[in-house]
Amino acid sequence: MNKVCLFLLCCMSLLLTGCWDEINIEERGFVVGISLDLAEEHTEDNPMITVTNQFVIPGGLGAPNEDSSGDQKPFNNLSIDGESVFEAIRKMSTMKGNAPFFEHLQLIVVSEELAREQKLFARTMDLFLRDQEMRRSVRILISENKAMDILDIEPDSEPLPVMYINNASENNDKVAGLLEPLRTGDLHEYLLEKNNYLIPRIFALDNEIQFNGAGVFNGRTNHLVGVINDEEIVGLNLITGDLKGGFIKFEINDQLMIYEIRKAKSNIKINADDTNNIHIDIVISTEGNIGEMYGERTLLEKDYLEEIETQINGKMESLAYDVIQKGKEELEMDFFGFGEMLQQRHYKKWEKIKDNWDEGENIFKNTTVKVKADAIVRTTGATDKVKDWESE
Amino acid sequence: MKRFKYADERISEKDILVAIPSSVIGVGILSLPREVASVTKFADGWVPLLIGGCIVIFMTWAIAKFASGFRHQTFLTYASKIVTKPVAIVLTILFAASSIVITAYQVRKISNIAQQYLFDQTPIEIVALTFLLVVVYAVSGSRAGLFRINIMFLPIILLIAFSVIIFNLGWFEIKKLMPVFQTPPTDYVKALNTSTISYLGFSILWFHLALVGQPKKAPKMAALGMCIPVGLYIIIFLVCIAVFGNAVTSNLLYPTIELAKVVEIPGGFFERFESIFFVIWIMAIFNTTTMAMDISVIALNSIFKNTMKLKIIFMLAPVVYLIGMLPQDIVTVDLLGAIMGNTIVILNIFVLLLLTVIAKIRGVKRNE
Repeated sequence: MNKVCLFLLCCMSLLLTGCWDEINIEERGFVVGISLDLAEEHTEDNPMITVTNQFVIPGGLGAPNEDSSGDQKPFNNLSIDGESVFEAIRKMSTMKGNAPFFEHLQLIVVSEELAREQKLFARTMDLFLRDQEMRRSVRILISENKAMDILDIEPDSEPLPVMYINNASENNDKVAGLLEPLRTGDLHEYLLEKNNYLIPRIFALDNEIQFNGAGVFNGRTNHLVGVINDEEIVGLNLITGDLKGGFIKFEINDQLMIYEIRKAKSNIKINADDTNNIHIDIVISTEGNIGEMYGERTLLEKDYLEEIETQINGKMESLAYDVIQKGKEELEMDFFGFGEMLQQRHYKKWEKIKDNWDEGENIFKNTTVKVKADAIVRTTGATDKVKDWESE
Repeated sequence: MKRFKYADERISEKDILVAIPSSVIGVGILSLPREVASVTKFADGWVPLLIGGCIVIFMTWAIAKFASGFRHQTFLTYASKIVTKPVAIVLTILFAASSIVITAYQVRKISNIAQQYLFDQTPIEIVALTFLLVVVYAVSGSRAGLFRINIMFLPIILLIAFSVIIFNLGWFEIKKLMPVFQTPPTDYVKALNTSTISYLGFSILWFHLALVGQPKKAPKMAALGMCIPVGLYIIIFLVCIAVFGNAVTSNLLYPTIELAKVVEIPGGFFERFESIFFVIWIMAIFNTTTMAMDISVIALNSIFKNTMKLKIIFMLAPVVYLIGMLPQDIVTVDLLGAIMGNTIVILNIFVLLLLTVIAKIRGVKRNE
C-alpha cells in the first residue's frame, strides 16, 4: 500500500511541475508610456502609425550603488511603424528581447496631427480598452508636436519622464488652467457617447514639459477640431465647477492682485421652455484668500474688500464669457456639458432637439447664457500689509 | 482509507438562509449589469432587478413552504404521492438534467473568465478540468459539509463585494444616474426576463429541504436568504452605472470585474485589487457549482437507490465536462446560459403549480 502511494506521489509531482503562464520578471519588458504619431510615409486612405513604447530599465532606477553601471538611462524608447497598434506592438517583441508588458502602463501621448485625422483617433484607442493587460486608469494627453519627443525628455526630478508628467498633471489644484487628467475609462464613455470632450495638451521644451490648453474633440467623429488655451480652461473650469483650486489675477487701482481660490462651485440652471431660445444661467461661487498684492492699501476695510470682490467677479465673469464666446462663435460646439445637462433634466425636450443641438440648426449657438460670479475673500493671508511707501 | 463521517446529516434552518445566496451568487452577477443596462436607459435597470427580485423571493418562499410540508421526505417520495411515480421520475430527471447543465455552464464560464483575466496561456480545458475536480471532491464528501462551506465562504464573499463598492465611491458620479424612468415599458419586460434568470438557484429547496431537521421556519429563512442577492445585485448594478455610465456598462463584457479593476487603494502599495476579488469570487462560483451538482446527485440517487453516490458522481463528471466544453465561443456560451435559465424558471413554476394544484385536488396529506 505504502509503495503504491509513494509511486503515485512521484507521478503526481511530474504533473505539477509548472505553470503555463510563468514568465520571469526579468523577461518582461515593462512599458510605462506609449506615444502614437502619424508615420512619415503614409497614404490618405491607409494611414500608418508610429508607435513608441517606453520600456523601463530597472537597472537605471533607484539609488546608484557601486555595482550598477554608472550613467545608465532608466528608460529606453523604441518606435515602430504599423497599420494597427497591435501589429506594431507585436513586431516590437521581435526587435526587443523581452515582450512588452502593459499592466503598468501609465500614460498614452497622442500627437495632434494624428488626433486631427477623422476617426483615426478612436480606432487607435480601441486596443487600450480591449486588451486585458490594459487598465482603465491610464492617462491620455495630446501633444502639440511629435508625441515621441515627449517620451524623450530627461527630467531632473524624476528618473522617468512618464512619472514626471503624471506628477505635473496632478497639480490641477494649484493652477486653474489645468484640466483634470483624462483616463482611458472616461475616454471609453466619450467615444461611445456623442458629447464633445476635451483632452489636455502638452508640449516638450528642452527637458521640460508644459501644459498648454486642451484639444477639443468632436463627439461624433472623435477627432480634434480645435484648441482652447489655459485662460479659456480657467473659464471652463469655473463654469463646470470642476475647479479644484488655482488663482485669478486681476488689477485694482492699476495694481496687480492675486486671488487664490480655495473652493469653487457652480450652479447651472437651464430654462428650455422655448427650444429656440434656451436660457442658461450660471452662478459661480468661490471662496478664497488674497495670495499676493502689489499695492499697499490696507485690506482690512470692509468697503475695500467689497471692491476687490467686485473686481474678482468681473474678471471671472469675463473669463467665463470669453470661453462661451469661443464655443459659440468660433468652434460652434458645446464642450461645456450643457447638452448632457439638458439630457439629464429635460429629457423629453432633449430627444427632440439633440440632432440640432450643436450641429444642423445649431440651437446651442442661439442660446442665451448669463454668468454671475460671487467671490468671497475669506482672509488676506498671514498679514495685512507687507510694504508701506509713505506717499507724502 | 477511512472516511470521516459527520455525526448527523441534518442541517438547520439557518443553513438554508446561507445556502440560498450561496447558490445564487455566481458567474451571473459578473455580466449581469451589462445585460440589464443594454436593454434599459440610464440607471432604470434597477426597476426590473427589483421586480424580478420580488417575484423570485415569492417563489422561493412558496417552494420552501410547499416542500417543508413534507418533512424528511425526498422530492421523489412526495412527488410520487401526488402525481404518481412515473411522472415524479420524469420531473426528477428534468431537475437533474437542468442542474447538470448549470454545473457545466458555471464551469465553462469560470474557465473563460479565468483565462481572460488570470491565465493568458493556460488552455481553458485545463482550467475547467481542475475546477471540476475540486467540485467533484467537494460533492463526494458529506452533504452537511457543503452547507458548512457555504457558511464559511458567504461572509468573505459579501465582504469583498462591499469593499469593491466602497473603494469605488471615489469614482461615483451621481449625475450619471439621471434622468430616471425613461425606459419604455416593453424594454422593462425584456430586462425583467434577464434579471429573473440571474436569480436562479432556488432549485436546491426541492431537494435539500429534506435534510432540515425542523423545517418550520424554513420558508421565512429561504425568503430572507433570497433578499441578500437581490439587494447585492441592485447595488452592484447602480454602482456600475454611477462609475461607468450606461453606455460603457452595456459594452463591457464583465462590468463587475472591471469595477474591481478600477479600484485604486490609496497609498499605491496595492495596485491589483482585482486579483483578490477574483480569488474570492471563485469561491462564490465554487459554492454555486457544488450546490448545483449536488442537486443532480441527490435527484439521480433518489431514482437509482441501489447505486453508490460516488459512482453517480464519477459518471456525471465527464458528462458535465463535455457539456461545458461543447460551445465554441462566448456567444454560444451565453446562449446556453439564457436557454438554461429560461428552462429552469419555467420548470420551477410548472412543478410548483402542478404539485400544489394536484395535491389540493387529491387531498394528499402533509406530515406537519
